[in-house]
Amino acid sequence: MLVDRNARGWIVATIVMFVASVGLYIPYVASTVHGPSGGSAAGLAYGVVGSLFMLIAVLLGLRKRFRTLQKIGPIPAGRAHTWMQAHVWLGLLSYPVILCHAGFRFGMTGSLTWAIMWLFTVVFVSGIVGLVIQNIIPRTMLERLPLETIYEQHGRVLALLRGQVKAIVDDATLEKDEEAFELEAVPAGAAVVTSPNARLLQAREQLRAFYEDDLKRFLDDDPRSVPRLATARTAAGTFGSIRASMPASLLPAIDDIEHLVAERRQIMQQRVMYHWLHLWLLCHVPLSYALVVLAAIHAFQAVRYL
Amino acid sequence: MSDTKLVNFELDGIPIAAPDTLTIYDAARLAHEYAVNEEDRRRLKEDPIDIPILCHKEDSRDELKSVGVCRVCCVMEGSPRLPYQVPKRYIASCCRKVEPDMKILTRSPDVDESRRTLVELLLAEHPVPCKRHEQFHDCELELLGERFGLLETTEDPTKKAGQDGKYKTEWVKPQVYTDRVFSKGTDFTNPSIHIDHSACVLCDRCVRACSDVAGEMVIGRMGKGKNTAITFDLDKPMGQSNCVSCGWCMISCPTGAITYAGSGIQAALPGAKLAAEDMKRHRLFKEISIEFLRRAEGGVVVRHFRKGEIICRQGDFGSTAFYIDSGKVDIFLETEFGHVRTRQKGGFFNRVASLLISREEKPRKEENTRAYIPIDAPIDLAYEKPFAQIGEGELFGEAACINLQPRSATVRAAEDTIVLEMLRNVVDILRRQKPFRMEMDRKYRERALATHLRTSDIFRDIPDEAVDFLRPQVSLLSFRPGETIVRQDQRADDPDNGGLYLVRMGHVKVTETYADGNSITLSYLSRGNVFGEIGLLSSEAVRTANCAALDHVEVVRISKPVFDELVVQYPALKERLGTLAAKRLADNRDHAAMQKRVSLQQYVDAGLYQAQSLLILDLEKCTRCDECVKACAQAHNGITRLLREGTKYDKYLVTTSCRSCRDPLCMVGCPVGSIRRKNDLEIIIDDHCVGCGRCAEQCPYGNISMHPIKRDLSKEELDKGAGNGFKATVCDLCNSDQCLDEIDDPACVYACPHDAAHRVDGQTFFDQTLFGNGKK
Repeated sequence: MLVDRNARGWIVATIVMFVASVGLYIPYVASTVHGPSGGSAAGLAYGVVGSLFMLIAVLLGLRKRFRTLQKIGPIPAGRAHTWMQAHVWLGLLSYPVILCHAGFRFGMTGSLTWAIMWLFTVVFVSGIVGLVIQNIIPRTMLERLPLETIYEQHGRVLALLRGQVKAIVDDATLEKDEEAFELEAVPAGAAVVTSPNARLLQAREQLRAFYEDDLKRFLDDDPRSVPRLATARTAAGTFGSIRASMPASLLPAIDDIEHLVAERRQIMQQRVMYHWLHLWLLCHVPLSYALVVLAAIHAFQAVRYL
Repeated sequence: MSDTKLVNFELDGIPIAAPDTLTIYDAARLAHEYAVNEEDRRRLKEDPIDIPILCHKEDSRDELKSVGVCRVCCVMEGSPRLPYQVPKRYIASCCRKVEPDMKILTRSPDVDESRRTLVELLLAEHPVPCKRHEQFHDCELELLGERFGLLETTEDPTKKAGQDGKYKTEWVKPQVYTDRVFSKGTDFTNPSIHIDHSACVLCDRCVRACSDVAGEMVIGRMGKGKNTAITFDLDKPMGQSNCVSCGWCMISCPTGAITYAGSGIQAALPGAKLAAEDMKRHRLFKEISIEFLRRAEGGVVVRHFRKGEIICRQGDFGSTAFYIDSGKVDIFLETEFGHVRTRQKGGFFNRVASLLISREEKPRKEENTRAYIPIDAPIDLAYEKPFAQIGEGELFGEAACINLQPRSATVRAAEDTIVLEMLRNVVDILRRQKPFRMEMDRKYRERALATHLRTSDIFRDIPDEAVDFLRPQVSLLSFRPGETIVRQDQRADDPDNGGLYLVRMGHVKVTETYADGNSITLSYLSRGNVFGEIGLLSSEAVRTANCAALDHVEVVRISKPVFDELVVQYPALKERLGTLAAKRLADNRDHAAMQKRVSLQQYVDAGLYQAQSLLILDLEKCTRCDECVKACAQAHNGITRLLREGTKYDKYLVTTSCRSCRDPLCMVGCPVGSIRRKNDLEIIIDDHCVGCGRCAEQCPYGNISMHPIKRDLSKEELDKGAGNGFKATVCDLCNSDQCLDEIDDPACVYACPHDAAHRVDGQTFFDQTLFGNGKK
């Protein structure tokens, strides 16, 4: 989710609530003899509020399962964006509130509260990382990947690219009678003779070798296995040197291949960015559910032994 | 017709009351309908007036204008105040209109003698027999010579029609003048059409056909006196001229001057090919020139179908029409009514399958309420029971053939049936034959008008009495592609083209032109839609838009006086039309306002100007989570109506999802009219979609998908070629009851957690956001 001026209301509310939480915490700590405790009235209040925030944040996952839900009973279900805002800002707020509940302690090493607090920290940090990623990567993709396509279609697009490159190379390296000879300048008065166009034949062989050695591997396998094409800079150098050794008739084919190689590289980059964009969720989501379960156990125990 | 004035006059002493738009020739031909007395009508039906014609050719569209050059159709006009026997003058009946108090004599010894002399003079310049008459006994001039007792023809039974010498024609009496001894020449430079100038009677039919019907303007006249002749491109050999060999000159020629020299159409139609002479003997083709039939050999085949055999199947792209020669056929919609959804099947990975949900199982609120489904036959199908039967003498598949639409229904032989299957050129010629058109129109008025009127929302519950009232009063009109039906600023009460129109076949494009000369498309109308109501109901009685034929269009016109009379009896009609007119006017105003607001050219190429509801994704916010696609699928029974792929503009991605275009090309060509607009915005595909895929092909942006559906077919059905088929799916902006009925946003926007998806008006959004012409 992009943090922009549309989130101003949420940001202000979060700051106000944060300040209020901390502001209330100071007199609360000052009024206690043995220091803050989660079992005290104020501590419990912090715990309930923090848990509620955590619960709201976790419910986003459930809300996303029912994408077209319009009402929950008589209450409007709200747009998914509203739930996302709540998830982000209340999730952020829940951490200091729970810290207030815990008296800024993680508990005894190995205990349930210790596990919960560390889990919460990991979830909290992973969430912030995710938020940062979601604010950076879409913009980067927009700037760097003008040929971006649907992730699930990459296999199909790659197959098309392979076919196109093969067709270009096949066509360019096909022997054509009219091109296989060149005019040779001879002294005046003598007949003009032709000889095999050695440069063209050599260029064709070079292009074929480039295709077999590098291009195929670059298109079929991991592009990073062909360093000379893996980045825009190295690819520009590679194509520059190839162009220098090619006759003019093959240059359009080289241009087309370079364009297709750039497209392949963009797919590779898109895959990397796509993974960055979504892989953090593999950490954040399951740990969030685990956190809720552990927090529920903790709450149950706390209420039972109150 | 009520919008024309009836004039009273006498024809051979019989009082006639006929419209003033008719010529004397037409009034005489239809005298059995227009005679004032019942007894006269009966007598004229038994013994019709038969005025001979030569340079005049009947054409249902009146494109071959009468010019009256041969005068063979002459009749005698008597003095109004004197007895019949006192002649005033001879007039050409083919081009003279009827007038009040005329006294016309079509049958008398003097008139016959005049015609006989004219024919004899024309024959004096004509080879007897000409090539056409010698082979087919079909030269109109020589047939007239036989009619007036000038010529006599004998047949050689040992030869076949088409061979030289099959018919031998001679003068009955030796003529008083000598035979023509010189030839005016021949032109065999065109491989398929031969010219014999000697047989030409300079009737100008070929000149008019070339210019007015074919629009080629290649043929003209040159020379003076006896050297006058038809020429191609100012006296070039035909083969070297700009002639496109369309054959209209040959079809129009009454004699053997322009004949066919090729070998017929090599069409691969299944069935027994019908020879030209057999076609000529058939009641359907008897009025058509033998030269055309020779050229069309192979374009008509006889097909025998046993009871239960399929003649044509819905959704197929056919280029032929069918005429039922004998037997009966059933017409029905093969596709089940229903919409598609995806159901989860069992199994670990929850496999999904698309299934068809019937209307009974889960009805859709937005499903059509129409009573009839328009199809390509002289009858419409009842929505609740889409089945009909037609029999001998009926033509079906006309729109598929003429407008290259997919077949709108499946046709099956109800009993052993013989049909004539025809190619487009044959159907086109048939449609031009006045007797054929009149017969088809008569059948339409009798059988189809009622259901056709009821296919329209306006006339959906029109009582039988009102249909009976309209039946003889409405005009049935045809228009060629591009032809204007009504023009903006024209009078809506004009006697020639005023009134209310109901589309019978084809598609009508409605455009509005503004003061600055720009014009935009307001709508496309197809069978069952009405237009012309705004002008008709407004006090100014002026048309507010142009309506032009997009393809071959046929319409029913209800003239202003008839309409006024109708709404007096049925005021509900006026009320409905008023509502429709108000809605259309409001839409037009919106269009005009939009036109003024934005610079169109910037968006025209990408079609964004057309978009009323674009789904755009802000790519800076979008995390490519596909929640929009998943929500769309969830809202539409598991079938998404959008793809997160498309054109990029700045940071916005215009997704592949219906744009609700202002100019919805997808609606053009639906054979059963199942694609339509709802609430002037979203496009809806009704459950009776036959899955032909025309709409998907027509959409320039690829926003309509053909979704495969699974049906439980029996082995017998599979053997007969029935397939699982397809249904078209399109974004309906979630305005159906399956979607979000309480939320303004469609599911894709509602479910986007990152506020990246938006539905916007293309013009406004891009003008404001990308070009900074205002605040977003």
